[in-house]
Amino acid sequence: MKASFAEVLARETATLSSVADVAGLKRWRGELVDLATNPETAYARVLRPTGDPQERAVFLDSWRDLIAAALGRVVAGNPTEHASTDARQMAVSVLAALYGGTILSRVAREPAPLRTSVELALAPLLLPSDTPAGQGEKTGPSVP
Amino acid sequence: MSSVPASPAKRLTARGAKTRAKIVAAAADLMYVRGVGATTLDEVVAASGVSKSQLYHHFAGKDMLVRAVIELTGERVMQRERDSLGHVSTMAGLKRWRDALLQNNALRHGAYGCALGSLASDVADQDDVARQSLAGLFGQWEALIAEVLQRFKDNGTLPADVSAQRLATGLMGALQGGYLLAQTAHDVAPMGTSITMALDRIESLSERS
Repeated sequence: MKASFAEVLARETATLSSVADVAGLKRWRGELVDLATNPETAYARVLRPTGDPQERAVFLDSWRDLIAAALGRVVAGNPTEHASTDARQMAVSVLAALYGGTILSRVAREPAPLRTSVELALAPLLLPSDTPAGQGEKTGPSVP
Repeated sequence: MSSVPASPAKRLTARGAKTRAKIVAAAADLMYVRGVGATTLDEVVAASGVSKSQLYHHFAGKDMLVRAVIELTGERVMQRERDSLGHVSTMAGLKRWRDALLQNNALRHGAYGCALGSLASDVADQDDVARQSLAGLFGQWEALIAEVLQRFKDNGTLPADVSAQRLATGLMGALQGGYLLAQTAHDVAPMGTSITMALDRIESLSERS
């Protein structure tokens, strides 16, 4: 598990460092959901609540900080629009959505719940609340 | 719904049903605290005060016992959630639901997580029958939340073009992930952040309507 934690942090350090705007954030989110729903990846392994709890706690703190730094750059790029967004709290939300969405997706055997959960966590940055909301920006078939 | 006995129980004498219930309750407690994988049948025997042969009389093996634990845990969680969400039709009511979940989890510093979510993490890849019954339970729970959000739409709290079902799925993801982060951090704070951010989003949509 140690190796998977290290692998994910190395990749996240590289990909998140280039995220500074909404387009970059969307790219990162898309890749993240793809990696998380492929059971062969280190992402899928770290998203299961196994392994040493202490190592997991350190790993999560590091990942949260990387996400928060990237979200902070997106917020700073458009301070008027995103004035009310707290990058650190949103990073916690994104991690929660990843873990919670993964449980729902594993139980349902489909990636949609994970995608929807992560979308909701990032919605304040990605989906202005004056657009048709709760629908996701890719107008796929809306779940009944 | 919960007054209908589970089908295996119908064939049992009153005494047999009592023994079975004792076994399942002890197993549910052990599995909640220690996880499914770390709970042995010997420990369930010891904790429930029945004999090993009584346990095997009721359950052919651990998988069958785990399925019974899922059924019991599902009844408990759904009963609690029906009670707390069944009549919610305002943002304030939804926030009270959040506060109660956080309060309950804070009592244990978030140590054990969601009883249903923990079972899902433990068995979703092990036993497909168990996975399907968990999928049904999460579906019921999400439906309760979606019904709240539908009432929001009906009473004008949320605009008509919002998908209650998708928001309910996202809120359930925030809740389950919040439980897991709290468990890892031994602190309920990240769970509060996660659910509150999801509710903030719902509230920001309501400002449009």
